Amino acid sequence: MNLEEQYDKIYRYCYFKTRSRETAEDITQEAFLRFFENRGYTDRGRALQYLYTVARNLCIDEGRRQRAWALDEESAGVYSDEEMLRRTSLKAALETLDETDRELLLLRYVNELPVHIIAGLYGISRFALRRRLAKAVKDLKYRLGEEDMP
Amino acid sequence: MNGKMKMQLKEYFEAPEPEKKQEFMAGLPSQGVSIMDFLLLQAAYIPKWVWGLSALIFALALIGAGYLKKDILWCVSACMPLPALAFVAESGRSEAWGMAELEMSSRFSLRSVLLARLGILGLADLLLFFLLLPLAYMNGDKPLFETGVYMLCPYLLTVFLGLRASRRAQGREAAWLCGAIALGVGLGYILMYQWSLEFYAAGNFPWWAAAFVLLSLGTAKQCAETLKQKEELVWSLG
Repeated sequence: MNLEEQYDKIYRYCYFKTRSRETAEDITQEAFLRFFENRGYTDRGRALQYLYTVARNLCIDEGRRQRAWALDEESAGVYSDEEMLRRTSLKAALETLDETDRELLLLRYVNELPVHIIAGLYGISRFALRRRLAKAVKDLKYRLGEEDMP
Repeated sequence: MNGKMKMQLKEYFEAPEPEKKQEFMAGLPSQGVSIMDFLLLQAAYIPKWVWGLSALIFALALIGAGYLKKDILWCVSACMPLPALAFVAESGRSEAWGMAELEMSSRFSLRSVLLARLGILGLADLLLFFLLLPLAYMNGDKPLFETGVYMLCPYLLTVFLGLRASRRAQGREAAWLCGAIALGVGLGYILMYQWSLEFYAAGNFPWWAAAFVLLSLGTAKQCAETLKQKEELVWSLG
């Protein structure tokens, strides 16, 4: 397992959950420290699932402590008008999806986590996960105008 | 999902650069090693005599093939318990030298180390087998498959009995016991061949095949139980 690469992915996941750079980084580091304390998982090929489970639980705990996370500042002004419009429509389309669906899209297509690990993380079957992902992608494409009404 | 959509998702889920990453990574206890590096590292710890023994058996078979002709099959088969002995000896080396506890508290667990070393030795023995098989086949009068079965039976029998014995005996006693088993199987093979001309008779092959299947299953079970025992040792230390 490439630790540097996984650090970035776990951090991205935590940032999505907390919307705070500092909190996301603290949780990422805490997850890695706990991972190193419990080395048994590294030998049983469950390292990634362990890391994500710890990170997810820590994000949930943090969420309970701070009910409302302040959103980091948007990077307005950095992009051209056309690019900004594309990003805004993508953001709007994604935000019509369920929070869990967005989380699943992040884990599967951005962090490229294997299906069996995500299924284990959410306690659902691989079949159910694939069906849910397919539906989320279809909905997203429809919102972006790339596909006809489902 | 197409590539364009993936790119868009990556943009949406983009997070600001982490600020404390390098500092944190530098302070981590270990960066881990790849599977290949781990295997190469473990291969270096396998004693030289194990590699020497395999090379010696192959060299003797190569030289002997010219003189022994048909008899090369039983000679090679009788030698097979020797690499098997090396395989079994490796499974209990840490305990034989009183190093098991130390290895369990080291960077890699004893179970991973053992699995890697047995895997390497198993592959090396398989390679030796595939080098010896054509020699025995070309100089003998048996079909290729039968020749392979005759050669593997003593190897599997030694590993099966050796692993079973090494889990029950302790320390150096286990090493002597495994040596005796390998010697017993090798000598037994030679004596049986000398006494019975029907040893490799075509009519007996179904018995050999049955023994081969049973020994393969039994050996796999013994390997699994040996690894399980090493895992349990960690718990019994606490």
